[in-house]
Amino acid sequence: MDPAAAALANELIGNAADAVVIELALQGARFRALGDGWLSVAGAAMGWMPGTVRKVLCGEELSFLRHEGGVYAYLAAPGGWAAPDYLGSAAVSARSGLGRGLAAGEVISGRADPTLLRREHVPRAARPVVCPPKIVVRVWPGPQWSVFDAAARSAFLSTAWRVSARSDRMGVRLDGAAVKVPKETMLSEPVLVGSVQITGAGQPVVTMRDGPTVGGYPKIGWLADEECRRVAQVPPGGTVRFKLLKI
Amino acid sequence: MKRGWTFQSWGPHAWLVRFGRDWSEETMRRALAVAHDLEVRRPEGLREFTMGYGSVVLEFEREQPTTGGGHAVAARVETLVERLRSLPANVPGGRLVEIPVVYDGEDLGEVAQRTGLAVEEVVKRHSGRDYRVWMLGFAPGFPYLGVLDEVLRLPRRESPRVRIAAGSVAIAEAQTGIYPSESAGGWHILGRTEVRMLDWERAEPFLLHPGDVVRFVPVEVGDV
Repeated sequence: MDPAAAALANELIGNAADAVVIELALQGARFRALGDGWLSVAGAAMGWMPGTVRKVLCGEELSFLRHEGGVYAYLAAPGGWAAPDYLGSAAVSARSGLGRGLAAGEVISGRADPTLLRREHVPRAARPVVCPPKIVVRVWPGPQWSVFDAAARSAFLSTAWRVSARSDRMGVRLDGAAVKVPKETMLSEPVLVGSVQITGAGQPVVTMRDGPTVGGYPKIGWLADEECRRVAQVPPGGTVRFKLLKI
Repeated sequence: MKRGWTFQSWGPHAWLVRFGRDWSEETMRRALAVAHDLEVRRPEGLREFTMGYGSVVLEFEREQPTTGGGHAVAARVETLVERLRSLPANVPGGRLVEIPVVYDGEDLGEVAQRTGLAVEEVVKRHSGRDYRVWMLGFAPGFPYLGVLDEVLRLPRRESPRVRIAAGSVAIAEAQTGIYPSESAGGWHILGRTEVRMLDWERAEPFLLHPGDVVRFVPVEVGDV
């Protein structure tokens, strides 16, 4: 959900940017270290200092249970975590039965010696990825931007949209005064991650990583990766405003 | 535009190309030819493409600032689209796959009522023709099949169901499809099949591919 934070966790510990990380969402998790080793954390804080590497000791309990500083946190271990690979990825898509999440009691390990930190790869001044709860994101006009009338477009851009608790890896749902939906129906069109669709009820949904590849709702806008990840990190109750970019 | 294609930029690095705005066989065949060509030739600089119904989004690699940004993307699109336009609208190969279906779906009665047909006639018309797989999309392995008998065409349900079982065979507008995994959805469910559209443990996880032909074979409970 936050590729920049996942890449930072990897970078801090000397891994390739796309090495396997553990993603923790909202409610977090607790782990017990079964040996000494290095661990890096980035993204949401969850009681830790995000954007840091630290040594963990055998027997130590690592708790990521505090809801603070964002929604998704990433843990990286030297060499990346060992996990089964499907279609070139260890990512889980529970809905389509692809892979599975970690279960309580499971033992996981990294692919490299956990005590060795390839320090030469550690960036000198890593800037932690910050995750504020109220954000303004730059939005490109979507394919149906001009299908919405002027009042609808202006309402979309002037509203402080509230992130709904019904948001998930498919989409971040935004609540606010309904935007007037165009009557024109459309064929099922491609949907990209970051697409801002307006549902039949006039509420925006920002398509996330597990979202559909096609859909029939009009897309008023589109968010590039760096803006989309910031929306993913806004907790329920936080707000998102959109600022229009010009093609 | 030649052949009714339209283009729209999608952010700074992507373009949406529409091949038409209808359900015509010509539009769909062209979309299929384009998808096949992109898959096989993997044009340089194209990061990813996503098919819609009669449309495609072409996502290009981000340009280095020194190479002219948006202009370079536009030039690439132009070159690529010129070639795609010259493709014959031939549907590539494609196997015939028979799918046994138990027609006992929860919307069968309503579809019969709204179309004014007897239930047997709905089943006969749905299973009475072969369908082309125009694309996979929505969820992994979901085949968009067309085109449906005109009499059976209904808009999507007003409020989508929260839970549709894997294997459900459903219709909406001019299309029919098979839910590969449990999902929410707004299509009308006519029946179900035991054939698995999706199996991550198979060497080839997806049963159907664009261009394949599907034939629904009505069976009774117990025959599947």
